[in-house]
Amino acid sequence: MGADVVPVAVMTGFWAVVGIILPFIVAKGPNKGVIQTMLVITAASCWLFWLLCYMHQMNPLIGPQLHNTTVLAVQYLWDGTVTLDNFSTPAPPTTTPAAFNI
Amino acid sequence: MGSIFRSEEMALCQLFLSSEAAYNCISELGEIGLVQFRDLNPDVNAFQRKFVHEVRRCDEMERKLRYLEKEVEKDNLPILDTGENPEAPQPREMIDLEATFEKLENELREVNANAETLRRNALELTELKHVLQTTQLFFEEQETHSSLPLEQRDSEPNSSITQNLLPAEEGKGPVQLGFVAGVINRERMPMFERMLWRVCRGNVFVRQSEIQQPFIDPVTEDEVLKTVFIIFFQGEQLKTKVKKICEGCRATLYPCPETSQERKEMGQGVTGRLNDLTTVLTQTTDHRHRMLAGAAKHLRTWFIKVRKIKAIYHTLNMLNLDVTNKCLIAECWIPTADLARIQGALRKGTEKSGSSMQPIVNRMHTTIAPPTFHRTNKFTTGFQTLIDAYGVASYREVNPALYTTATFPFLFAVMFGDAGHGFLMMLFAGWMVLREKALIAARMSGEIWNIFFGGRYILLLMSLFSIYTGIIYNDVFSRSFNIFGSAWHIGPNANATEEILIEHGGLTLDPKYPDIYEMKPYPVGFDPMWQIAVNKIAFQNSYKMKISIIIGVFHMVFGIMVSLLNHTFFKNTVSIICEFIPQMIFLLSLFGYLSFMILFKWVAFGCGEDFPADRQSRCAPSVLIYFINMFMLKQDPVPTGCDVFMYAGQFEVQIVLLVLALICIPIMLFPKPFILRNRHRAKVATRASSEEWLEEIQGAGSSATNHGGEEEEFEFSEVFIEQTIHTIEFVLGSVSHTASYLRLWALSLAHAQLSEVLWNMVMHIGLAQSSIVGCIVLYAIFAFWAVLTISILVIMEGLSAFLHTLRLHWVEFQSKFYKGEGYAFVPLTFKHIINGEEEGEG
Repeated sequence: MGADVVPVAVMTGFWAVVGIILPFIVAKGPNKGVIQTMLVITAASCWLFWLLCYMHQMNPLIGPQLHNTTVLAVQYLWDGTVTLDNFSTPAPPTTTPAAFNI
Repeated sequence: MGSIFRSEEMALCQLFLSSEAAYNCISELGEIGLVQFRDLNPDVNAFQRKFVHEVRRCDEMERKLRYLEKEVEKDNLPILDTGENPEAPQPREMIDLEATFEKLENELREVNANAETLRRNALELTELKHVLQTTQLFFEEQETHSSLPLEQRDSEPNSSITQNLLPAEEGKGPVQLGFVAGVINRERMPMFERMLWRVCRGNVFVRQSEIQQPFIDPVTEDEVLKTVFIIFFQGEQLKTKVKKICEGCRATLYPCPETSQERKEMGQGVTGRLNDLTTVLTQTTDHRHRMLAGAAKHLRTWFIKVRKIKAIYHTLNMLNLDVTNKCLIAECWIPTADLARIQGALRKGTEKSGSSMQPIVNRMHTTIAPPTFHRTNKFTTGFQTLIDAYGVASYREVNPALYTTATFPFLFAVMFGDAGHGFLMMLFAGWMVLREKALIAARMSGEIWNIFFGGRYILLLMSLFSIYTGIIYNDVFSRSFNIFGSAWHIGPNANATEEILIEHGGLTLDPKYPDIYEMKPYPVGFDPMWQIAVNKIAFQNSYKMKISIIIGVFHMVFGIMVSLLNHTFFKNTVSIICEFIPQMIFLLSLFGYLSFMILFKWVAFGCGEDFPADRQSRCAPSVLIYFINMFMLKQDPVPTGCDVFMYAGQFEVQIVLLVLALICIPIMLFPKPFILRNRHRAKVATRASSEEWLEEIQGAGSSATNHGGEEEEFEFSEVFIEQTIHTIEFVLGSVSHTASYLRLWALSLAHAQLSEVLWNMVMHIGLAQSSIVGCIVLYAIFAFWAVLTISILVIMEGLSAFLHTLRLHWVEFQSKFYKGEGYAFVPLTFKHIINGEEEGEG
């Protein structure tokens, strides 16, 4: 399974506190019922919404299709596998990144 | 649970009030605002009711007050609003109020009439002054243009201008020219001249001069431009003609002396009189102003008092006089929780009136359906209004508004799903909520503003939820945040070589390699890699459609659970067995199973080594096709190496579920009408047998003591048809409503795409600029982008998503349990009289 323990535990724990523990603590006075109902429904629906997004991305059946400039940008900015020195072009060393737009 | 879980228990009570105390008691009840009076005289004409004279007097007083209010507003005086709540005055004080208003009105009318007369006089004098000035100019000009030698002119200083300038013919004597002078509206001047020319056959001479300063018409208070004219003619006949024409064209003629000396004297006299008149006029307007200022201080209090009196008398008209003619009987609906409070108020009213007879509250038992009363506060009122707009809840059924406080903003946010737009909405809603008191006190008009302001709490919640769903969708003004680091990388297995990139223009990442996909997804929300992917929509569509179905199934199951609460409360066991259970089984075995299949596919199928060969991506089935095949009992061919079914035993499980669902349909359809018919027959039989028994014991001739004598009719065919409709509605509705929840997908897709298009086509151009001029271009483009964002994406899309959320609640959720056949509780209350609204009750 592609699930990671930490995010699941943190999100589930957070919404469990909001939806199960808080209603007993926070609700006082004439609006007790309304506050409790709101907390429970909010926690349940928000946790469910996060869970569905998580489960959908857990075991992806397709991967992202990227344009070639996007590939280079990802490699340069996020992965760090490409630096500006990697490119051996006849252009002078002060070439701006715009030269790599193909 | 708070009382908005279900509507309050209401009691039908009879009030016995002594005639002296009735007025004060009703006044006290109106201040509390928790009693709804029933009209005990519905057949009586409005003009024949007992207190019709008092109501008429109140109407008359209100008319006088409205006249005063209009006059006060004309003078731009502010009406003082201290926010105090004056009590309804006693009946005997009404006469004092009437006298005060009468005096004020008469004085005001007198002052206004005087002012008008003075203004008219002033107007005439001013016109006369202008006439004198202008004719002076005319005659001076004539004198300088005279063809007679100068000495002759000087030697005859008093010669009239009317002396003939041409030498007279022999024997005819000098001819005298007559003239008239006056003032006419500038618009009429051309018509006037033309008429003079035609009628007098060109024998008159007209000179005119426009008056620069506009006059104020004393009646209409408009500005009018006028012209001075002077007409010269010869002979008496022309004079009469000219005078008639002037009368017809509504020109005012003024007597103008011939000699310049007399003119000067007249002018001085006119100026003097004009000054006197202006002084008197100013004094009159000052007096009026002082009067109105004094009245304006009390105006609001008077309005409230008069409206309260009127409301009390309208209510008194609904009461009945009892046989002894000493006390009044009222029938009213009171929430049982407030009975003690009402009794306290009645005691207070009786004390105030000094009556000795204590009021009696007698609770009656009845079969009439009571009104529906939800005790709401400023937060829950908005949601309650939304639900009541569809239909007021039946008496004591579960109130959907309680759940709507959380589900409504959530479903809105699923469709709106952009953290940036949600943030903007939050700013607006937050401002309205924090500045609540000041905005209420400002009492802004404008229906649209009032609608938005009334829904400020709803807007605030919607915006907060939208920020959350925007974070999950990873969509902030159509851009994504990369907080935790993307789970996708361009690893060596991606073959991202220069040749491949140039040849193919791009590449697709394959999730089966650990160096491309980390095997653990982005922790919170959508991976930022998808925002820059070409096939983002394909991935997101699959996601959004699935969550729409799952959320929809949850919402509908929740609705059916609420119906169980209703059945339990009304002790309707038949419905629990014949409606709730089959409905749950039907929905869960079909659409619950669909949701299960979605979840199973998410967990069981994937790429990479962890998954067996028949659970790889190429074998992943379409859940929708499986669902359809479940009904059609067939299987589709699959690629080699893949299993026809998702899990072992799927075929058997699906058959069982299908059979279960099909069995539920006749259970929903048949048992209940028959059971109800048998119950009715049993009831009729026991009633008949007990009547016989009573007759035997008490002897013949005793009438049945049925309270109300209501024979409950039972039409079997009607009940059966109703049950059929109910069943068909549920069965077909389960399919259509589940599909209807796909609007959650549709709207969020539309919103995301609109947002992205706006960014790519507008903002991107600005950000791609590179020079100093580009800075200014960016500034202008940002303005354009911001206006379109707010108007289209926040306002228009917000309203659209709001509407669809409302529909999902009204139709898909509420059709599972809501009857909505009640009528609202409308108590006698003075609250909106104090808030200054025009409508009164009764």
